[in-house]
Amino acid sequence: MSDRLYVATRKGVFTIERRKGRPRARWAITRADFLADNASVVLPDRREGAVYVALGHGHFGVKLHRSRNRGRQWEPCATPAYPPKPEGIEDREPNSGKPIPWSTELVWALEAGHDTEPGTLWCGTLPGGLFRSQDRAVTAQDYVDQVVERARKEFDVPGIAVAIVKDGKVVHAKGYGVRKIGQPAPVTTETLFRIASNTKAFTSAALAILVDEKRIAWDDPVVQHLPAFQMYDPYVTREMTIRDLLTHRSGLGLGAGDLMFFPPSDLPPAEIVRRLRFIKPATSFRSAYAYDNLLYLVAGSIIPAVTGKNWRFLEGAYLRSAGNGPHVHRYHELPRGEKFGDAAQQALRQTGSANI
Amino acid sequence: MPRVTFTQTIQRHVPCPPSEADGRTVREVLERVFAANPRARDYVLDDQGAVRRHMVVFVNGRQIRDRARLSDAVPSDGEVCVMQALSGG
Repeated sequence: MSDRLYVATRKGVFTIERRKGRPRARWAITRADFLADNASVVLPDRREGAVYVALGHGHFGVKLHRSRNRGRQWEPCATPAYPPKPEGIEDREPNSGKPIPWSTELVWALEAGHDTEPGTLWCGTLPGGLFRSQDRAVTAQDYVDQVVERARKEFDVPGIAVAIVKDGKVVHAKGYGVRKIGQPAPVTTETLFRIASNTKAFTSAALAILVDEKRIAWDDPVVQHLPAFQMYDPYVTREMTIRDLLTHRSGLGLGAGDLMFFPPSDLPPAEIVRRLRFIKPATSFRSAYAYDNLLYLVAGSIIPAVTGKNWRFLEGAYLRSAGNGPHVHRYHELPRGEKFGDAAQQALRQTGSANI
Repeated sequence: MPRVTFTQTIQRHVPCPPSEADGRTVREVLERVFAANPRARDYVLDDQGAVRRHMVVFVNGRQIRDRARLSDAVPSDGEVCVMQALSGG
């Protein structure tokens, strides 16, 4: 015998339980969800342990929600919706002659499909209609939105832009949240972001194109392409390969030399690369992992050395194929301050003070 | 650019921050807002894309006339306000 009841009312959904294995124990209300909302139907889906609730908001229409943990969290599902009404169709109730709206006004029945069809739901509506979902009433759009919104809250960031590419086609492109904390401007698909170390992937991809074209090899010594390249130790200078530049095992300590370019400085990249020779290693060559930025600057310098083009080489290679939106490539070129336009702003949360 | 605001009541169900959206008609402006916030669309418009029976849309303080196609004009500095209709006693 079951020990849990779900009750849908005009004022919310109530969970009523009694202690397991004690048939004489009293029933008690253990949860109240959607308080003050009109719940027309509740369906516990025994096949998967999920609970579905249909709400009829006076103003905002019919909505379906699901919980996979007995009501602790609810997520929106796809709501049964009528297709666009074709032009010229007269649809009237035979008795009253009133026009029948092609829009769901009430979910009055919600049933789970057969045990052999997990995920299938049946739904009866007013105006008269029978809807079936074969995917737990999840739409791909809903699912992506839920995952992104959860991530946005989890990482406590004001805004995210997401693109999903499948088989070479953009199947989802959307902005979430805002560009700047405390301001309403939303993140859109056109919003520019500082992508920081994600640029390392572009540097690596550009080099991979050159490897494919057999213009360089991963194990070429760096000095073969950049004769002036010099590390603190002459042995390392001689032995360092392109592969080493990208794999954070040069012997430089964590973030060695980063202060030369961050916060933004006026040192040209060539000068930053030249000063590498003064930075003492923290470990021996190829013996330890330590995240590094400067050697990616060196890796980026190989592209113009080999192609004769500056590193905007990538624009021709494949950024163009991603569309003709506004690409801004350098930190200093991003709009900032009051006139930040469609660019996301840095969000630093102050958690304490530090003495530097 | 027209400015779009939603009343507080809808925020309980789906966040609808005030925003700016380009467009010459209520349809153009709102669809741009909903493109960035698809869940909000179903709360304001019905299955046929008309304004829900108990919702109202104002442009610069005047209720729109075309609730089905939302063809009412929006000036470039217009204020579009989406709210729930109050009725009963």
